[in-house]
Amino acid sequence: MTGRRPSGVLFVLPALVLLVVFVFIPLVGVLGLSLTNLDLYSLANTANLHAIGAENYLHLLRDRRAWQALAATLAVVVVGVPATLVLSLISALMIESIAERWRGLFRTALFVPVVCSTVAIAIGWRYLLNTRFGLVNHLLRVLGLGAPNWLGNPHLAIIAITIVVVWKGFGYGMIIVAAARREIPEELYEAARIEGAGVRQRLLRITVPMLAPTLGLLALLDVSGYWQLFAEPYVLTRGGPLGSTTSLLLLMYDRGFLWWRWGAASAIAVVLTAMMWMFAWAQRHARADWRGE
Amino acid sequence: MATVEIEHVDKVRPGGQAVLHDVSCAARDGELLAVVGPSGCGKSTLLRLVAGLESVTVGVIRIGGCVVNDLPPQRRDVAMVFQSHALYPHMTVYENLAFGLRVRGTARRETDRRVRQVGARLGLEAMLERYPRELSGGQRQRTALGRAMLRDAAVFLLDEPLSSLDVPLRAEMRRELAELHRSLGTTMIYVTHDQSEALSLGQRMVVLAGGRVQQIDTPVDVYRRPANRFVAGFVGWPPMNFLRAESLADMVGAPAGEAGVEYGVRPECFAAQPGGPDDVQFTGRIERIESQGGEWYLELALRCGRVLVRLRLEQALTVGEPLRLWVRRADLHTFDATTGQRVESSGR
Ligand SMILES: Nc1ncnc2c1ncn2[C@@H]1O[C@H](COP(=O)(O)OP(=O)(O)OP(=O)(O)O)[C@@H](O)[C@H]1O
Ligand SMILES: [Mg+2]
Repeated sequence: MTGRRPSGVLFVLPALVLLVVFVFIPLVGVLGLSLTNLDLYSLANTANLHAIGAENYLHLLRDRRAWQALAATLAVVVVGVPATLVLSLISALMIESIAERWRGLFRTALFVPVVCSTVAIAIGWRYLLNTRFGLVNHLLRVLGLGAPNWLGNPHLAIIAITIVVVWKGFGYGMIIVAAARREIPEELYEAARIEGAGVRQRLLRITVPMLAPTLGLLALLDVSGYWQLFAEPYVLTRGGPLGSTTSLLLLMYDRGFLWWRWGAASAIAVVLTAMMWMFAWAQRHARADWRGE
Repeated sequence: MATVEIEHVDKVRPGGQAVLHDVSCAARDGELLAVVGPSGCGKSTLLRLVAGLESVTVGVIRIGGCVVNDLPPQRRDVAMVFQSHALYPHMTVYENLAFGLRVRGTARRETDRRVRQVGARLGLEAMLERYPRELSGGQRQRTALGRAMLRDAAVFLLDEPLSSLDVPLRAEMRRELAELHRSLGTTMIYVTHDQSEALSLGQRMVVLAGGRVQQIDTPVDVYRRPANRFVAGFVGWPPMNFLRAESLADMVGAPAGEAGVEYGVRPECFAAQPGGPDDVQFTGRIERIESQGGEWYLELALRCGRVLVRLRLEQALTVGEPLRLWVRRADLHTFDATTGQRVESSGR
């Protein structure tokens, strides 16, 4: 350990200040709020404001809508993350294998959704998924597959949301995976070819394991991103039909800014954060790979 | 076991860059053929053509008598050791060694037996569970060799396998390689840019420069009778001295000065005493002295230029002193000054 110099503290100070102001203080604040019954009535008359202990949390446990939101969020994470990773991987490998002159075009095309505003994308998809006039159903009708009510059917709506989320998200992973793929020395593949490995074996025994650390990192990013699912259901379905696409974050938003029950909303926020941290912790400890981390 | 024949091979890169020009050479069955040349002369390219990692533009490559031009690498029955070793970083030494056997569907027990056998032979038993990044340079080198051995190929291709090692380890691995070649008896093509490696390891050597074969011979013959001025200057260290024919005035007893030739003398061929009646005599002044153990490295100023001399001499020397030295006629190489080709002097 080299000696700590005062100048080092100076360098981390700005980041530290930002972190404290925008993360730690709000976090403590939310934790505090979640133990109260702060809502519109107690705001109007502070005599109504009480510390109610774990009441908000206990209520969540009994709340059917909270469980539904958890299930909806988990569904998007559990289906969406692997789908995103697979799409990122496949598209990255495809992009790396096509001719240089086309690469830029495809890369841009697939990456555009990532940088577009989620709201704009969601609005676009609302048109695409429109039951009567949408392009998706038009194509399905041409193929003779019927015209489902994508956003009106509780079972289909969550699928539609997942599709939009994955479609928007995989381009980011594609760029990262493509960069990681370029880092794999070509000689490894040449050595493998000489040893008799075919295309499939080179993919499964070299490419995928060599990309595993990158995919693991992406999985973490995707999980934390999808866990905070909000804009897509907010714009596409407003949480419906029948609450089937209400994510935990959307539920928190509704409780806090629609019904003005800040105490209850804070409890949801705390639960969301705690679950996220648990996942990140598990992920960290699950990693012991050839890089020696 | 197999021969490798390379016949009139040209290689032009997709960009239009010609890398190899009319290269012909052959490794005999069980031979260790060293390919040596300066950086960028096309050595690796030649090896990759034999391995099938790249395709020849013109010409024929035969392995064991069969034309392999259109065969993919895995069907050429070759094993290759890369300059960077190309070990799979995400696999342990064991898995690296077992890779080829596994992809070719060898039974698990057989794989295990052979991996452990080769591991033991190369002194890697204790390393089998380590990852490549946890190995020393020499251990990585051995792992790469072991992987090639497990390929059980008829031909070994080695692309500067020792260049990433430090000097003492390189000497040790060089001995181990020679020993390995003796015991395996496999045909080996060994690429290196280090002429001393080629001299010591090769049974025959191919000197390549600018994508063209300069000479194919045994190391002794390449050293004794370099085919042209390039080979003469490239093989042997310190490099050969070259003297224009006009400098004959410095040499007593040199062959009658034909115009347009150049003479070459290796630094170690000078002697302080005449060895025979027709020795060539050089007289000059000592410009610089460097002692290395029991040897002297001298820079001798002749009237026409300087020569580097390596001498074993008891007596002390001083800068500025005149010195007379002798070179055997057979050690005086003659090259055509325009073409650079060796001119065989008569009377030999
Ligand atoms: N992938 C490539 N693309 C374009 N040119 C290349 C490529 N690889 C090699 N070359 C060129 O081909 C020529 C021969 O290269 P090669 O790698 O065979 O040289 P080498 O003799 O092995 O050199 P070294 O001793 O440095 O390894 C060089 O001029 C080099 O610039
Ligand atoms: Mg090379």
